[in-house]
Amino acid sequence: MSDGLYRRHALASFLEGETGNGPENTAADLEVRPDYGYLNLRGEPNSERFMQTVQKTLEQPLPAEAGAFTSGQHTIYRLGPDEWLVASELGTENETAGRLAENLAGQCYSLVDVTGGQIMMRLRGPRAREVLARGCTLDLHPRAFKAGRCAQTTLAKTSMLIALADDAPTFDIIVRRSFAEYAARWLRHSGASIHSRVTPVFTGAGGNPVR
Amino acid sequence: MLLINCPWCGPRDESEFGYGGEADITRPADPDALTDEEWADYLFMRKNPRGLHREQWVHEHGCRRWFVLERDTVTYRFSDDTT
Amino acid sequence: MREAGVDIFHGCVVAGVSGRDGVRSVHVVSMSAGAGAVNGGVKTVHCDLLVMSGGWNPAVHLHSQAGGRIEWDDARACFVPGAVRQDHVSVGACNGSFSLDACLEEGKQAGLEAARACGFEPVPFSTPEAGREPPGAERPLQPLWSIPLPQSPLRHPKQFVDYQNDTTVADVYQAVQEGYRNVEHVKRYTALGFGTDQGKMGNINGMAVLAECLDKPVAEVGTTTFRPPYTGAGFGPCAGAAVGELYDPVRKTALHHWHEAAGAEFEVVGQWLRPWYYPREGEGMHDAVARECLAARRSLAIMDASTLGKIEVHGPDAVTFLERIYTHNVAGMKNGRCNYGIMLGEDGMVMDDGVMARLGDRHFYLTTTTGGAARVMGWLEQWLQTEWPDLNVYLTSVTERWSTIVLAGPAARKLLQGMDTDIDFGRKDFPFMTVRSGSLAGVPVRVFRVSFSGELAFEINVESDLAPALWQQFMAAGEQYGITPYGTETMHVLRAEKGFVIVGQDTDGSVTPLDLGMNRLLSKDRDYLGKRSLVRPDCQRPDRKQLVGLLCEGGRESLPEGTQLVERPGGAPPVPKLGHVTSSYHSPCLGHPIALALVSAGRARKGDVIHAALRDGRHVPIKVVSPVFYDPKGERQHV
Repeated sequence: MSDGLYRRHALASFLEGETGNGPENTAADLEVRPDYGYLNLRGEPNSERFMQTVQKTLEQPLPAEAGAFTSGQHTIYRLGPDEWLVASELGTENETAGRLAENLAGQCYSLVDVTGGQIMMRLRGPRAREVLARGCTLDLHPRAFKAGRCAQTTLAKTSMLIALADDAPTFDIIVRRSFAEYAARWLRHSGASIHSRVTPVFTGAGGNPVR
Repeated sequence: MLLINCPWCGPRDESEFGYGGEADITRPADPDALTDEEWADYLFMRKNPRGLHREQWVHEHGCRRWFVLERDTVTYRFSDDTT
Repeated sequence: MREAGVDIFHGCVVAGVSGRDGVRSVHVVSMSAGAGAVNGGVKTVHCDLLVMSGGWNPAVHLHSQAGGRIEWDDARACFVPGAVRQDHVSVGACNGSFSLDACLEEGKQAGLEAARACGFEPVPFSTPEAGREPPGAERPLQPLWSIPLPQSPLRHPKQFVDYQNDTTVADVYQAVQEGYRNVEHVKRYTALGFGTDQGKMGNINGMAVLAECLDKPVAEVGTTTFRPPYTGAGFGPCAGAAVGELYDPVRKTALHHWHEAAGAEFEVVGQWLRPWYYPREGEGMHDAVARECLAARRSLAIMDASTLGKIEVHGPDAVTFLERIYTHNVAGMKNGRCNYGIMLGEDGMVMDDGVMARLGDRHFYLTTTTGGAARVMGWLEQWLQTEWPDLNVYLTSVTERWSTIVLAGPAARKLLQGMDTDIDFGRKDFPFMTVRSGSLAGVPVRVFRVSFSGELAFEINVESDLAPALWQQFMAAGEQYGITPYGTETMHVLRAEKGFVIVGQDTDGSVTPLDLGMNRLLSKDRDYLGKRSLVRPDCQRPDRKQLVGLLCEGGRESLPEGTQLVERPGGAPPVPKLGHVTSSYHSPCLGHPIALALVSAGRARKGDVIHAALRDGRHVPIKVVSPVFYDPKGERQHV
């Protein structure tokens, strides 16, 4: 291993010693997701041409509203009026970026590969809202934050991108890489304090070969 | 704590925002043409009114967009019709 | 408590404390209820801690700031919320209701009413049984603002009222004797309530002591103004999660586990943990840093510089935008070119610095200081969005996407050339201050040939998840060159030997690029932020503090950073200050201490001897020299 090429997940140290064999059917489960490829896309939302080109290339609509995301081959989060985050299976982002760049040639846009800059965790279960609400300034009430919505907001003393995938509820939480350990510890602590068991489960390996 | 209405993200907690001071101060087009007094006025002098104040905010922990709000510096109430 | 062996003295007060550097014992005397004096009967209790109760005080701040009145409540001996002016309601302890039952009930009622007012029909629910309140909870308080000792309060032993500013009962009496009778005046005379707790612990007691002194009811003395912002003493620090590892985020680089395993000592930089130095068995910091410095100067050293802020700039107006922000000639940079860049505030002061690389016609990459990353990104966005929305430019932070590995030392090129790569690291093909992209050891990288050490150096950006693998490859391939990991301390020594400044250490927000001798970086033929300020009379003064180097005359004396500099020893105070030491290190490769300093008219003083005023009263003669101590022609980084 030491001589070969391998990827090391930002939470590898944190997960050492975690068995991944937590109890099932807990009130809230925290799962560390394997890495995705991430592209940050900026462009003019009022340009029909830009929106069409991106949709055609990704074969998926860009979320039209503020605070929405679309799922498909990619998950596309709308971060701001002219900013989107495209999450894809790790290893495909290069090819996706290449196709976007080719099709957008001559247009005004920005496409930056930000793979490796953030990690995703999934918090799921009937009491997941409570676990988050202790350190999140966003109104998480189902009336205010529905499935299909995403938001950039705070998580304790850091920031996160949070998306509500379904009404289980399942929250996908994206945090910056260097804050990953803090966020994971905080979520585990918050879960423990309401007698919900948050057990970090890692669904990928700690040292994946590059290819 | 204030609830601040981000024009893009909607109402959010004050702690998600950064404050940018008085709004509507335009950078002089030709700074070299200004006297030292005029330049200092642009640099340092602010109105600091008691009452209505147009000011800049940035949704730092959200969409990172800057916007302008009008706030009453006595009651902290934001005017509804500003964005 | 008694069963546990704890003595309880009823009807007693503490009338004195003994101990010089800490509490050693307290003197307990009896005092009957309502009595205006203590009864004597001293008992000494040996202890090392004295805890005092401030009683119960509602946090009326928000109520008061919202325009509500506050009233003195004699029975509860505290100020409670009175009539409201805005749509708010105080409940529970905030309203002066201190029993748990009352708190729960008031909270419930207020919650139900708020829900109804918002148009909801609340679902009935019951509050938990709080159980019997502890005996005595409902008994009226007997306030004891100060201990009524026989002597005049002005001659009392210290009875502290404000624990942060050490304001005593005697100080309050002194204020009144000096003629300060209004509570706002007494506050300013004594500093009562000016601490970081903003009077949360001692203010009420202080006001009551003032009332006693003036022989007035507390209600008449009133309170000082409750000014916003109000920040509660959170439960987090008292009993919640905001302690230990959750107190504040600790940011770690992708290589952190490697540094830990290598036995690194860490330094906190912003929220980041950075390797400070890597001591070997038996080494102290001085030895480790000397070894790391010499490795970089003589052969090969490796550093994790991942914490640098990194920003990508895209768009047809990227050049126009960057020329308004940075001071150097951006338009003239060819693709693949790197430049050292500084940005100024509109006041002309140096705000941040870093490397700018041109990756394409409309594509740039910027680095910022570790601590300045968020500030710079915010600064750029602010100008772009609020002042120049017409510019087509997009900014993206890539600080976390890339890890940065620095290879510094004469053997850096040989190491890279010996690895599997499609990048030509040859001297001609990869000159100083250029950037190349390609593959290195099977990993996609961006390599910047820049140098913060003055040596031949390459800064390699690699996707963070792949950084540990690449680092290990460097360590294995570098063994033949004695590759040595180095931390921030060695980085500081190396850069100080070269006279490279650290923004925020050698500058402090009052330093212009002219003060630093960076005139060459200032474009003459166009405007940029802060340029106009540089010609203000104050920025042109010949006696401004300028960056210089300092050498101790003949001695080995290492000057502490922050040391004040004066013309000559002696003289009647106030002695005019010439400036101060901003950076100071022992230089292992030169074999003597070096220092950087900001000195009034410093450049004109080169060769002069001035004096450092040390804390122990000595004045050390020092010579003003160029800030570049090592390789003044910069030949080593160009090899």
